[in-house]
Amino acid sequence: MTPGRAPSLGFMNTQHDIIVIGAGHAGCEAAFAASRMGCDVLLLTLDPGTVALMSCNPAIGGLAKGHLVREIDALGGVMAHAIDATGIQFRMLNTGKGPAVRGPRAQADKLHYNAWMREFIRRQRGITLAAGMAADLISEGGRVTGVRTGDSSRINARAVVCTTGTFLDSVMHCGLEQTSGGRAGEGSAVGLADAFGRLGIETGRLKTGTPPRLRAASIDTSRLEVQPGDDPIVPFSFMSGPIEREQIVCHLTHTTEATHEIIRANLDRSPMFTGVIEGIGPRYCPSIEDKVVRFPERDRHHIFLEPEGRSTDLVYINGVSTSLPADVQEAFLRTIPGLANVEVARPGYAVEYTYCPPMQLHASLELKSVPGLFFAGQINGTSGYEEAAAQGLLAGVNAALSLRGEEPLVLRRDEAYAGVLIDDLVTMEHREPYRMFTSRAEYRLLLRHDNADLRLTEAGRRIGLVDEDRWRRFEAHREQVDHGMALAERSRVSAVCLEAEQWEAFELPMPRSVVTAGEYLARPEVTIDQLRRAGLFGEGLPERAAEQVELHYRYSGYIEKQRLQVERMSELEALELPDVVDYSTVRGMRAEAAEKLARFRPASIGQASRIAGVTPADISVLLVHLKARRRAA
Amino acid sequence: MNSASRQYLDDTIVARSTAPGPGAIAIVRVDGPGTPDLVRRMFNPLGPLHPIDAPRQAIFGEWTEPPDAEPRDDASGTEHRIIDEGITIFFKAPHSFTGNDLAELQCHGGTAIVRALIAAAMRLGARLAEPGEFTRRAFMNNRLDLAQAEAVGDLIRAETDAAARMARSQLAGGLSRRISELRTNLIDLAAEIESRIDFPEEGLAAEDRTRLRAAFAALETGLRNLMASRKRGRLLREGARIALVGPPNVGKSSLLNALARTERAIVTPHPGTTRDTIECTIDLAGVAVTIVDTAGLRPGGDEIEQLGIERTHRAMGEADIVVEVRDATGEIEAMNFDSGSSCGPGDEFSGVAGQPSAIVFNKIDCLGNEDASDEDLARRRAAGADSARAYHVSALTGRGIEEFEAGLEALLFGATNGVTDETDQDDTSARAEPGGQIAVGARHASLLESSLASITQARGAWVAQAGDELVMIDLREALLGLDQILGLGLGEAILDRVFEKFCLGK
Repeated sequence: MTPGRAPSLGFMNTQHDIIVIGAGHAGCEAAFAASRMGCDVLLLTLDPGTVALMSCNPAIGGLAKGHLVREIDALGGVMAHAIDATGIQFRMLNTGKGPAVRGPRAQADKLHYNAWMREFIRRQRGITLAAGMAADLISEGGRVTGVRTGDSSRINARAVVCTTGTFLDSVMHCGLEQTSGGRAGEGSAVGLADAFGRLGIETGRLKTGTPPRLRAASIDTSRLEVQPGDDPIVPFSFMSGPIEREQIVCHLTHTTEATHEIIRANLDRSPMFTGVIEGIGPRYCPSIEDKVVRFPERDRHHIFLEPEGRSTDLVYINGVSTSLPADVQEAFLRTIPGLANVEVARPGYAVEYTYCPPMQLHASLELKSVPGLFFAGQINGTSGYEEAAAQGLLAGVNAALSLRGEEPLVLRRDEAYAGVLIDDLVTMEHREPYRMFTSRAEYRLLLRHDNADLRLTEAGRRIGLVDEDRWRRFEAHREQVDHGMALAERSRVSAVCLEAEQWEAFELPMPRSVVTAGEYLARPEVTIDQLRRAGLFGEGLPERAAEQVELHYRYSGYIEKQRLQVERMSELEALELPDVVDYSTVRGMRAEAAEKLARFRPASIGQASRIAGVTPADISVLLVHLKARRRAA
Repeated sequence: MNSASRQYLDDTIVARSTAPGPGAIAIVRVDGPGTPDLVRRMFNPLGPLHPIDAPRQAIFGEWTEPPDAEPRDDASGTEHRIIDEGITIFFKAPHSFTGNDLAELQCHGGTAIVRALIAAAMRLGARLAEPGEFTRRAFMNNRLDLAQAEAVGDLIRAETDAAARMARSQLAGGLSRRISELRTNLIDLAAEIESRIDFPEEGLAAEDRTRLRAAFAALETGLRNLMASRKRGRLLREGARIALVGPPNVGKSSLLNALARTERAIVTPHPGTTRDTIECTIDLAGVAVTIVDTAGLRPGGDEIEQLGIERTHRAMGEADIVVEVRDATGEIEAMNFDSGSSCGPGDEFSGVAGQPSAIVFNKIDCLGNEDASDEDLARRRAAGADSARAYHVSALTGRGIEEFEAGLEALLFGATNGVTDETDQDDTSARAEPGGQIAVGARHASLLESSLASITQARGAWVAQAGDELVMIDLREALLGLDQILGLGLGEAILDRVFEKFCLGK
């Protein structure tokens, strides 16, 4: 890895439209989006060599996260292209369940992904990648106007996007030893958190962790279960053609009673169990010591061994995130089948870092109290590359839109997982790093990974992120889908369409009456594939459009149920709350509700109604107050 | 989604809009697109012919009970019980308070009438308005001017406090505990299903279908039991029926008149749905109680009398409480109630099927020696049906009537019918605050009902293996219903449980 050739200090140009602090998954999307929208962007990073580095699991996607990647792609972002280019194993998860809850996942070649993204950023017009630490924010009249770097250079900008990840005043824990830094071998960003404090921005501490990395050569995979990739590969990006690539395999193993005993015996050397770490870690990504303590009845825990790439012999051990001392890690790892002689290349560790509770943000991801300052990624208390990238994209887009003087792009909860993500962040208090789950989306059947394009490409086009090529192909796809739907309404299926034995041969139920192809497809046992094979419907439709037609009818009843909910929701959802409401003066408002509303400053009635402690009656009172205000004005 | 968003603007809603409590008249408001149809179905104009929904016309007429889903009787199937008579004014959208189609039903000011009207509207598809909902509709439709808007804030505030008080008084008791338990079980079930959607790679054990099937069944049973035990809600919504039975000339009609003559009487006696029964409705502790005077029960008799007896048996079958009336001066002997019919809907209230819940010895004024009555009562009680309570009254002088009414009240709400203490607590609060309680009762019952329906649908989808993501839609709907009763937001309850119960996270 060559540390980038970007200018380190003494910048040629000290005036940019937008400064993006941090070049991780959020920062790269933010810089790319803003530059695509015509802004001159400075992408400031501690180390240009680590652009979009996968600090933890070398994988992209999964349930809900895969959905986010599709949405980033539909809006015109980068992540899907990056993983399609550098993936070494692709799998569709949950194929045993309905299409709405399937999710694409891929293992990346970690170094390749990092190099690909660095190159991509380097080539992108309008981005200057620079090494340096943002040590302070410059502001004038409450508005952010630039950044002061660690060497006291002053860079002016009209907007700043902060994507500092785990690097803000970060401390790494390995056993009871502590090192300053946000990632093994790297430093910590100091000063910025103080700047936040001066601007009145609330901060908190969170914790995350990563498992050890193992040497591939020291692992005996001969008796371990193999997990291969899918064939054929389903790419992430709408624009990717078929991917023909040799895939690597992963292996499955598990902890044993012996593993658990060693862990239990050494809890007094765990920074988490001795209270050294105060930050709150995510429940969905517990350390192995956490799992052993909380689920004593389990005699084993699942482990995946995932190669970090083709050109490295490092293996990521998925399932044993830990901050126990290095010697304990090695001891318990060796009790795991296949790892009897394992060599630990780098022990696991925990990181504590500073974040800013995101209810201080507008849904545009701009700070409510500091215009011109946008936050995205782990600084908002989220976890995951995909969550970070989705926020980064929208923060970059909204920073650019704000410079144009245009309305921000705010996705609705019924429109995108990214919309659910940001709405959850800015309206709810979270006590742990936030991860996307499909269960967080009340409109799960509408928000499928397969229809992200139909949901979002138009919005991406409107703001100028979607290029001509994608737009043309998307329009063609949309036309085919519309055509397919129209056809499904018109085509009739009846008993006379096929001979009796043909119905049986195609495993299709013979309809008792004449039904439309759409109605026929609504039956759970009928697939469009069967209809196409039987020559009954949709032979001319491209597969991608046929899939949309099939799912439309398959889910129609339930989608209708959800759509009604959505429509009823949006009535209030859409009603905007001016930021200047003084809730303490609202007649009839309960004190608790007034306090909560003043604290969260929701942007809409919909958001307000989701805040715990705000009752329907409070909402009614608020509506009336707003009306009165408007009349008075 | 929370309850705020569930107050859909296109629902038809109903609520009392005059202050609760006694008054000469009361106004019940119906609002929403279904209003014209609803009014047409429950209101018969009397006098000069008017289109029912002529806007801004005060139309005199009578409100009737909508037909039951299952008609009680072929002969009476087309004839509906009259709730009250009064004035209906229809306002056509957008020229109404709310800007929607709206009707004002101006009735007599008894709580029982108001309740019966609201119950009838609900049976015709309206839902009970949430606190402040009319105002909100008016607001949404730009029907409020500045001064009104300011004033309304205070009004909503008041309504909120009332609603909160109701919720507290009702939910302090066992009801909230039981709903919370069901909610916990529902969340457990949802977490079980949800965990297999969001965490496909965690090595979770395969779904235990036997256990899940039992969990679905337990939830359905739990909700059903809760609804069954919440008889107060049903009483408030639908009222109760009491049948007076006994031989001819023991004074059933005068007893009915005595009950009806009290200030509680809300309907003058009118002919019953069949020739030989007389009905009147009184307000008993906030419940609209219809008292039916039946034909005399006499062994033997001719064919015509046999017909009357059949009708009497039917009336007994329909009644929640059967009161046997005897002549205190007459022979002491138990009647033969062997009619072959059980008490039907009333078995919840009657001790033994086919047996009266109470015995009234009428005409104690004719006994002469009034002091002997207590002794007499004990003697007569011993001779009466085992489980029945006995009362001594004089329908003529009114003596003992109050005590008898208290007894009826106890029978309706009381502990004699095997209902748990929890609901009794509930009932106490109902009687303590009759004015405000119907809202909570009816609202809760309908939320419980819809939650149950959602769980049943979810189970159907789960059994058919239609997909966990589809099962979850209905389970969430069910959970939202229970949360609304408890005033909780769903938040991350399911996810929280997932993390608590399953070892997740690689």
